[in-house]
Amino acid sequence: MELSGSTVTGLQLAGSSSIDDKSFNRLTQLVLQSIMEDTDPSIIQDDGKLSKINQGMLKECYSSLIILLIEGARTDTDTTGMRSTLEDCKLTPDRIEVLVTLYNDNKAKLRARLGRIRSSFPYLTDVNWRLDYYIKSNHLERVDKPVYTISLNTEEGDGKKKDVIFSCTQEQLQDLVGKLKDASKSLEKFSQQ
Amino acid sequence: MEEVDGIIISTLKEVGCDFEDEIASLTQFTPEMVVEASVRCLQIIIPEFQSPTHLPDAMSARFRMCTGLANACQELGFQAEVGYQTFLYSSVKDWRKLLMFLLEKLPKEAAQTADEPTGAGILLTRSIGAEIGASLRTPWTPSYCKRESVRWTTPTNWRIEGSSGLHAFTASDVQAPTGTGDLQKKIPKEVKLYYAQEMPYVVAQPVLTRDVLSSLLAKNDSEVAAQQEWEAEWNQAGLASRLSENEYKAKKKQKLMKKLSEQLRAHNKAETSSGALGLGADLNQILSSFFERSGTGHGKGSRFQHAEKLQFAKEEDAPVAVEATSEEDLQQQREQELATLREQLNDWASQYEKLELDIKKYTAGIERMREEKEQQELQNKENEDAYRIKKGTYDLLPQADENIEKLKGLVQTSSDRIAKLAKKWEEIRGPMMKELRELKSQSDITEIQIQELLQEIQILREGMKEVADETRLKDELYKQLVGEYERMTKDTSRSAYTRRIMEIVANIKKQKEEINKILTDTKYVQKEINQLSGKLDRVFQVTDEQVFKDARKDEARRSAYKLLASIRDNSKQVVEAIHEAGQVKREQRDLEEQIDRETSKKVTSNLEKINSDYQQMKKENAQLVAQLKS
Repeated sequence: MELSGSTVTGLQLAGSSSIDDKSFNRLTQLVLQSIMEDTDPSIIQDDGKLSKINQGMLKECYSSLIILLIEGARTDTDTTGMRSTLEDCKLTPDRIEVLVTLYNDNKAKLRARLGRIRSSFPYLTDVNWRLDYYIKSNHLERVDKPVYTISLNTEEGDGKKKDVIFSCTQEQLQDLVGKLKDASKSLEKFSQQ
Repeated sequence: MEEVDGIIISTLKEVGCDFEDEIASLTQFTPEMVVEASVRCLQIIIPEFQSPTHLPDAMSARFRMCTGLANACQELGFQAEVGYQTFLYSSVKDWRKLLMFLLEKLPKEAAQTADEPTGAGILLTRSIGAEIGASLRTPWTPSYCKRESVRWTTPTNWRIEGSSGLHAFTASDVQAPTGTGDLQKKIPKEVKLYYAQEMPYVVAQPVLTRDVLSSLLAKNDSEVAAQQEWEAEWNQAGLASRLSENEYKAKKKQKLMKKLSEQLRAHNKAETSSGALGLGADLNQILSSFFERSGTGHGKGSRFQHAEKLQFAKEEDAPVAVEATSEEDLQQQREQELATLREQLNDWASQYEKLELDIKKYTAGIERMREEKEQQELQNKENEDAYRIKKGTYDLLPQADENIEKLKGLVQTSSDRIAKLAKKWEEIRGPMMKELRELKSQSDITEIQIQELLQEIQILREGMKEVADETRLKDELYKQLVGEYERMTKDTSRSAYTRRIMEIVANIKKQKEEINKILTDTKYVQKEINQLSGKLDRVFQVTDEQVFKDARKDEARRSAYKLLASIRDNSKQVVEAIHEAGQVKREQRDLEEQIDRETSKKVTSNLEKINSDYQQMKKENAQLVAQLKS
C-alpha cells in the first residue's frame, strides 16, 4: 500500500490533538458509512460532534481516511501492514487500534464494494422459451419443423436490463446445449487442477 | 519396528486407505487391508493399473486378484519372493517388506513441487481454480436475492454474481484541502476561507456519486506516481545541479516558461509571415465589402455612419431586390460581385506588399539616421573635450615660465606620490595575492570534496533504492511462503516423522555401543582362552620332559609318566568336549530361533486356512460343475 504525501499529512492531522478522541471515532464511522453508501456530505457538515472542528481540517482528514481505507482494501493489506502504515503516520496507539479494528471488521465489505467497480459482461438471469411448429411457408407447402424461440434475460452494468432473443432449430439448440456443457465441464476440470 | 509401522500406516492413509484409528502396527493388519493398501499404491505408481480395492468373496477370484497384484509387484522390481500367498497367508514381516517397497516406489512429484517455492502465476491459477470450483459448488440464486450483485457465502467471503450493481472505473479530478494542520506553512486567509466554507467534500465533487471511490484511488495513485517521478528526477539531475530543491524547481519552471514563450512566438511569426489572411483580416474584408455595396448610394461618411446606414439600407433595399431580380440576375450579380471582390483583393494584396516594403525601407532609414546621430554626438563630445584642453593651455600661455615651473613641480610631486602609492600597493598586494592563491586552492579542494560527496550521495541513494526493492521482494516471498506453509501444515506430520527418525537413530547408536561392548568382551574371553591353552601346553611339556628324564630310572616313575600321558589325553578330551558342548549350544540356539521364526509365520494356522480355502474352492468348483451340468 502506497499513500501519497498529501494523504499522509492528512492522516497525521487526523491523529493530532486538533481532533479529540470522540470526534475521531465519529469521523471514522462516517468515513466508513460514506464509502459503503452514497451519503450526502451534509451529514458530516451538520454532525453535532464534529461541528467544533475547523471545516477545512475536517475535509482534509475525511478524504485522507477514505483513501487509507480503500487503498488498504484494494491492495489487500493485512492488519500488520495497516498498523505499520499508521505508525509511520505517527498516530497514537489507541487511534491506530480504532482504525485497524474498523478496517479489519469491514475489510470484506470494503473489498466487495471496490469489487463492484469493474467492466462487466451481460449476466444471464433468466431464460424464456417457446416451441413453435412451422407448418408451411410461402414457397413450400410442407415444412413441418419445430422452431424454438428463446429469449435470454440479461442484466448489464448500472442496473440496465436487456433481452437477447433468437430462434433456432432443434439441431442448433442441441449444439448450443452441447457447447454449454463442454464449457461447464472444462471449467470443472480447471477447478480440479 | 513400531516407528516404521506408524510411518507406513500414516502414509497409506494419505494414499487413500481408510483404516481405523486404533490400528497402530502391521500386526493388526488383515489380508484385506494389505490388499487394499497395495492396490491403492499400485494405482498411484501405475496410473493404468486397474483392480478392485477389496477382496472378492469367491475364493478363486481372490487367488486371481492376488496373483495379479504379485505379478505387478514383480514387474516393478520387487526382489524377494512374491505370490498370492504373500497377500493371503503371509507373515507380518513379508507384508512390511512389500509395503515398504511399494511406498518407496510412490512418485515423489508432490514432494518436489512443495520444495521449490511456487511462482505467483501458479498460485494465481490455483486460486482461480479454487474460486471457480467454489462457485460451481454453490447453488444458483435468482438475481433479486443478491444485493448489488454481491453474494455473501460467509460473512467474510463474497462473490460477484450478475452485473446489475457493477459500474466501470471512471475517475474525475477531486480536490481536498492540504496542510490545514501544518502550522509552519502559512496558508493565505482567502484559501483557508475557501477550504472551510466553499470547497465541497470529496464525496460531493464527482458528478456521479458512484465515481467517488475510483476518483479518490486515481488521485492517490497519480500523486504517488508524481512523487516517485520527482524523486527519480531529483536523484538524477537535481543532485548534480547542486541547487536546493526550491531553486531547482524555480529554474526548471523558468526554463519551461522560456521554451513555451519561444514556441508561441515562433508559431505567431510563422502565422503572420506566411501571409495567410487571419480571422481579423477576413472579417475586415467582409465588412468593407459590405460598405462598398451599401456605400455606393450614400456617399462618403465615417465607418460608424456606414454601418448605421447599412442597417437601414438593408431593410429598405431588401424587399425591392427580391421583387426585381430573377434567379439568373441574382447569379450574374453574384458573379460580378465575386469578380470585383477578387480584383479588389488582388489590388489590396499588391498594395499591402508595397506598403510593407515601404515600411521596411523607412524602418531601415530610421535605423541609419539613429546611428548617424549617435556618431555625431560622440564627435561633438570629443570636440568639446579638445576645446577645453586647448582653452586651458591658451590661458596659461602669458606667464609661460612660471607656469612651466609650477607644472614641473606638480609633475614631480605627483610622480613621487605615484611611486609611494606603488610601493604601498606592492606591500598590500603581496599578502592579498597569497591569500587569494590559498583560498583558490582551498576552494578547489572543497570542490573536489563536494564532488566526492555528491557521488557518495548518489551511490547511497541507489543503494537505498536497491535495498527497498529487495525488502519488498523478500516481503512478498515471505508472504507467499507463509501462505504455503499454512496450507501445508494440515496434511503432514513432519515433526512427528523427524522425532521418530531421531529416536530410531538414537536407538541404533545405543545398540551399536552394546554390540561393541559384547565384541570386546568376546575378544577378551578369546584371549584368555588362548592364554590358558598355551599355558596348559607349556606346563605339560615341562612336566613331560622332567618326568621323561626320570622315567628310565624307576618303574614307579614310568607308571607316573604313563599316568601323565593319560591325564593329558583325558584333559584334551575334556577340552574338546567343552568345545563341542559350546557348539551344540550354539546350534541349539540357532534352531530355537528358527523354530520361533517358523512359528511366527503361523504355519499351522496358515495351513488350516489354506485347507479351509481349498475346501471352499472345491465346493465352489463343484457348484460350478453342477451349474454347468444343470
